[in-house]
Amino acid sequence: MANVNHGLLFYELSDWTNCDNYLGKYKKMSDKKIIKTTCKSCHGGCGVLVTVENGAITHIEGNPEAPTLGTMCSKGLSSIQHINHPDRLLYPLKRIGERGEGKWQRITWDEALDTIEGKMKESIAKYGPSSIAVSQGTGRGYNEYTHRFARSIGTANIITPGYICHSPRLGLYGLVTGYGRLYCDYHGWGGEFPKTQISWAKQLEISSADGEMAVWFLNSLKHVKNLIVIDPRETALSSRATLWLQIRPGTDAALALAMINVIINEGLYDKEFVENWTYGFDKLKERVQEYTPEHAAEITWLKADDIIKAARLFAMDTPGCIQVGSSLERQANCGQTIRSIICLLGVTGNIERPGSMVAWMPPDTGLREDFFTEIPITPEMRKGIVGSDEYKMGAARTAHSDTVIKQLLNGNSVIKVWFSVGGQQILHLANTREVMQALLNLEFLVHADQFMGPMAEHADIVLPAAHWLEIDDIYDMHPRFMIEAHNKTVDPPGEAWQDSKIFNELGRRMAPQYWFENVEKMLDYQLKKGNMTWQDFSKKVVHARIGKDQIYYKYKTDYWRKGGGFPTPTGKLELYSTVLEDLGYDPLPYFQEPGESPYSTPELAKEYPLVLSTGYRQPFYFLSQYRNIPWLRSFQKDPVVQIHPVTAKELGIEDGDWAWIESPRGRIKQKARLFPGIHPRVVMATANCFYPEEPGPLHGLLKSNPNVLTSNNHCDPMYGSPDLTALLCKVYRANDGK
Amino acid sequence: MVVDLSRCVRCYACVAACRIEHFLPMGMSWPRLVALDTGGDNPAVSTYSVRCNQCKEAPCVEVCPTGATQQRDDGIVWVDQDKCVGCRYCVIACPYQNRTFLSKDKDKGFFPGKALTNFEKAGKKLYTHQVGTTEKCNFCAERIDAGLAQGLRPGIDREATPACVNTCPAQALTFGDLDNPDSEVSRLIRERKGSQLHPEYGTDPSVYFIDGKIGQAGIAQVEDKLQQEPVPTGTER
Amino acid sequence: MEIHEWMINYTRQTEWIDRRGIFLWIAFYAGGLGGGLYLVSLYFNSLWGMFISWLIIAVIKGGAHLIYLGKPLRFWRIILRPNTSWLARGIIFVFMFIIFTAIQLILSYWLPGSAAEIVFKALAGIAALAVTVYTGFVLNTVKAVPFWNSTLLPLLFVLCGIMGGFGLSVIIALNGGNVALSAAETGSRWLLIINALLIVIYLWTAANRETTGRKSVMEQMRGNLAPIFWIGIVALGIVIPLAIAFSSYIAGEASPALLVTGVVCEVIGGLALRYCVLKAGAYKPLVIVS
Ligand SMILES: Nc1nc2c(c(=O)[nH]1)N[C@H]1C(S)=C(S)[C@@H](COP(=O)(O)OP(=O)(O)OC[C@H]3O[C@@H](n4cnc5c(=O)[nH]c(N)nc54)[C@H](O)[C@@H]3O)O[C@H]1N2
Ligand SMILES: Nc1nc2c(c(=O)[nH]1)N[C@H]1C(S)=C(S)[C@@H](COP(=O)(O)OP(=O)(O)OC[C@H]3O[C@@H](n4cnc5c(=O)[nH]c(N)nc54)[C@H](O)[C@@H]3O)O[C@H]1N2
Ligand code: SF4
Ligand code: SF4
Ligand code: SF4
Ligand code: SF4
Ligand code: SF4
Ligand SMILES: [Mo]
Repeated sequence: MANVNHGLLFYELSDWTNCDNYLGKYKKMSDKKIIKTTCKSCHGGCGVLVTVENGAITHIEGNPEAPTLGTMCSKGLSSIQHINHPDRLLYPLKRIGERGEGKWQRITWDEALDTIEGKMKESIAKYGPSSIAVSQGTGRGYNEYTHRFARSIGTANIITPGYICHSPRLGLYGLVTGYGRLYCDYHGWGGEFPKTQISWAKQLEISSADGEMAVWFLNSLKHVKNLIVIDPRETALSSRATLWLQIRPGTDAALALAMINVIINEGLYDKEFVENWTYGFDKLKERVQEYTPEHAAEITWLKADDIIKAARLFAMDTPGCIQVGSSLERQANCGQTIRSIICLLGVTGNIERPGSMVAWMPPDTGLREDFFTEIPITPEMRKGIVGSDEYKMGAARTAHSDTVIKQLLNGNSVIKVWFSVGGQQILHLANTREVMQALLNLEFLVHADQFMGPMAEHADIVLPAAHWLEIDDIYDMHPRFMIEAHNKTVDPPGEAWQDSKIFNELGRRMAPQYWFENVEKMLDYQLKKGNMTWQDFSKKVVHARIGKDQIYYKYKTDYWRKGGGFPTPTGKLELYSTVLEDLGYDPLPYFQEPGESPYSTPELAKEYPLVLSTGYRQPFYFLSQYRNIPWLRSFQKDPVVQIHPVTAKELGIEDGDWAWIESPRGRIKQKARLFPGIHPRVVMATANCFYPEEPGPLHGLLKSNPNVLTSNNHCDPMYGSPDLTALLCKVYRANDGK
Repeated sequence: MVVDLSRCVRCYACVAACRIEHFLPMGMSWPRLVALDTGGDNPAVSTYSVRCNQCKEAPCVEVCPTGATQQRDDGIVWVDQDKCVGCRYCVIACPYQNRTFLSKDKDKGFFPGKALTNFEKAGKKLYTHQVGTTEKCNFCAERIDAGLAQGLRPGIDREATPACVNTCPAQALTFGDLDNPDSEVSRLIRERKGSQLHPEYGTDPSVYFIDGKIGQAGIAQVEDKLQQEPVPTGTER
Repeated sequence: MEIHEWMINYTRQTEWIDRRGIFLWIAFYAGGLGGGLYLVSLYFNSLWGMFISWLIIAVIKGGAHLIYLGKPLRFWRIILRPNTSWLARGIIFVFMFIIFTAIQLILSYWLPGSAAEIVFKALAGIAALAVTVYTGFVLNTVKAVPFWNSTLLPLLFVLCGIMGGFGLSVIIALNGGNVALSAAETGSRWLLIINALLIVIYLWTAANRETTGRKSVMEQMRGNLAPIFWIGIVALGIVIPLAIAFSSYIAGEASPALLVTGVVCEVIGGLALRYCVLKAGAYKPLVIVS
């Protein structure tokens, strides 16, 4: 293990990873137990050393042997307060009052599982398996189980935030590589680090999102020559960037296409790569002609010169990579935005070359997806997917959440029973008020969680889930080149179960042929390809394919197709996508205004003059989580909306005032932070916030959550993503103080 | 210690790490983040991760009437909890406001009114905090001493290095021996023009900052902030 | 407070005025008042005055200090570092004053005029002066608070203490303690004037050295402290007593009631002054950007 990881960045951090004498200390402390495990307090992946002294955790710190080099963030570290939280759910609960009334009765796991099994079987008999939806929140290591469970009972109506978070990227990368995952080469395993990096709508430095850990990225910056940050807000990163493009939210496609325009017209593109390995270059060239830097400048509120500069840097100082942020995927034009960015990578040949974008090879245990893809989606399952007829990319393997909500409201819902694990759809989907109403129209809702949040409050049965410090499980969020182990450090409180156990036990009742005698057997099964048992792996903690074991330039080998090439119909990287063409979408990228914007809806803009974006992560919160963790709450008590001082002055708002943010859907209140780093015509609100301390069932859900403002009427044609991070609003001072 | 301002990403990990390392009571925070955001010609989101500077000429040592606050030979300034009478003169006198008086209301437990968590109970045994005395960052003296005892090198081997330094994902914090001209910290200070906070106070802090970005625009920020209503000082809470 | 405000904004000192901090404020003022009264009483040789000043310092000041400490039972440790700490010195002065004055009072009672009495009067006098003056130095050594970091502060505190002393001695005079009323009045009259001038100079210099100092001053004249400043320090502390003093000066004599009001106002004024000084003490921003 150790030496594998030394392969990672060791030339910079060998001293850091010099941990033999480190562990030596603990050998001396015989009474203590040091357990190596993995954190998933975010998308996760940090290696952790947990000190346990007679049954109590007395210390947590990063594991220097792990690929995350012994670093940890405030969220992971504060897990100490999380696991002992007095509000943890301890027992299965059954609703006894009206739905959302907050009257509960403790029941046994058997009763809970019997009831759920009964309801599901009844619903399947009456309406067919597609009437059952299985939902999860963002990837938290339970993905494989939610998907396998759904498929095992014959439904593909899986509800996940994926379509506003990472999936558009994966799906569209898939059109290029066939494999769906391109990552920035922060590791330099090919002997080269990215020379030009674009951080595009990303705060990787604090979000450690979507398969990349902040520590890797920040490390690679030691080698970067040009750092380009594309963000309407100034960030810690933009402060050290070569170039910061303060773009208008929702216009990124225009920027990307203008950059391609410059690169092609100035002949800066990678001729060798374009000639031999891409398809549809000329058509793309034609398409981008309308996107001159000047034209794009008007759209994006940028300077044409900056656009040209960015284009030249990226095309000339190669290798380069683009770290795409999910803010781009929370917009109703996300499909074409991502397409544009892929084409930008394509024409600059920044694919599969060391220091560019690489599709990492999984370790010998194979892809974790195999655990559910081995149960195929049958034609009738596909027919049953809600929204599949409309959103052919987004609703191919999973349901389209907003259509599910609409149907529930209109009384023509395919979904009758909703089994939810993690995830606060009630506050994370667009138009909170509609979602609340929709949930009330369900026949049966189950929610598994660690706390009684707004989603749980609306359920009929609530199941207590375990924390990562309390479970034995295999972990892989996104970094495809490794899997890690969660090793149990303490027992879960009360009767809380780990999610994998919940699914396995329910699976055994619903579809025994697909499930296992117990969790350990299930884990062994997932590891068998790497001929390991859970026992072996749990000691190993990290099983990775890194360093020399990763090969680059896969398209020049037989890796994707015999004789080389990309796994696409044309065998080339499709700048012009034949697949999209067949699906009836525009095969070439284009820019489209957000559903609401000063230009698409000028009338509306008169009343709602400011552009609102709601995508920006807090380093100490994870979406709706952790406002009940005292240490983390202490960093920022109330949700903060960033406003430019000049704009605020006009509005008579001072730093620290509560401000109303209003859209045609409603209004919310957040604390105003006068922030000179944001565009004067843009305000940035904190997303996914409620107040755990406030009384249920809503827990202040409607007070500050920006989705009260967002609309689910206008969605991306490919993925169905609504405009969460680019809409219109007006802002005014809240006089009544709080 | 050297803080690289260009690297810090305002992630708060250092603060959290210290709270765990020292079982800090809820209202207590030894390190803090000072957030300075500027726009204009010199836009910067810059963050000063501050903690006790272990001043060579420490006012807190000078004013302490009991001698509870004292300086070790290695320069670490520490408070002998058993000697401190809680007069708070040091809290007043620290020009950097890096000291906190542990009052009862700062020690209500993680979840006031609820039972202590296992972690807190363990903490009461492993690392006691006396209500009524004053505390501050001690450069993880315990950790350093334990490390040195095993022949480890502070700033190089984790076990002899402060918790906040180890956990920083940006490697914005570098720890080492200022008296050794070859140490990493000395090199950084030399080559990247390390500067101390308020050297004019004559306190000679042992924490240096490098590669700050804020210029005149920064001053404007601070100035117009000064025009605002006064706010009570204290920890972030 | 939110992280982005701390030590970037005008960041006030709180430990020594907010919440339990009021005890320290009382202690500081009691020191000045008691010390001042003792000195004045020496001048008038008023045993009553001396006794009362002893009470003020031993009971009020001592008590307030004790209550304020986080660990009262260890209070004795506070005198261990006089070589560097003004607080240690101050408390030692207090102890000395309490002891010397006690002895002196006993002597003056049993064997007045004895050499011993003279000696102890001298010693107690010195201690009294020290007690009035040290609080000024305690604050004045805090480099990061420009508003305090001024040599005028100790002087101001002493004068204000003696002024209070004269004030109280007036009352004692009225109650037939052997104090020459007119003399007491003249004294406090002059001190009132000098004190008023000193306050003006002090604020003016503080306001014109640098931003944080100015902010502290503005805070008192326009900010949250304005009421206390204008009513407490200016009106009650200076204007009214002066008015009364001069009316009695012109009229030749004033009604005792009026005099008493004057003194009470003075005392309140003194308290208000200490309060504002402590409350407005603010630190320079941590990061001086350049
Ligand atoms: N306006 C706006 N809306 C947004 C976004 C935005 O930027 N702006 N972001 C969108 C994005 S990208 C996402 S991913 C969504 C996610 O938004 P959320 O659903 O809020 O976040 P999650 O982390 O998926 O779900 C959090 C819930 O899962 C529970 N949980 C955490 N860990 C576990 C576990 O291990 N087991 C179980 N059973 N439960 C667990 C937590 O207690 C919490 O109740 O929000 C989306 N909504
Ligand atoms: N600490 C922490 N980490 C997290 C999360 C968390 O809540 N907290 N959430 C997790 C989840 S589920 C996800 S999806 C990821 C998301 O994390 P990221 O992908 O980093 O996305 P955000 O931080 O939401 O937004 C990144 C930046 O996009 C900018 N932005 C907003 N709108 C636009 C736009 O229209 N164009 C451009 N160019 N920029 C824009 C915002 O100002 C912000 O600075 O983070 C994950 N990690
Ligand atoms: S970054 Fe994510 S995985 Fe790492 S410590 Fe923080 S929460 Fe845990
Ligand atoms: S841990 Fe490092 S990056 Fe994070 S706030 Fe502290 S110093 Fe800055
Ligand atoms: S920073 Fe403050 S507490 Fe630390 S040594 Fe200097 S004066 Fe003392
Ligand atoms: S509070 Fe304690 S450490 Fe601080 S000066 Fe008083 S006695 Fe010394
Ligand atoms: S050096 Fe140690 S004590 Fe000081 S702030 Fe860092 S972790 Fe806390
Ligand atoms: Mo997400």
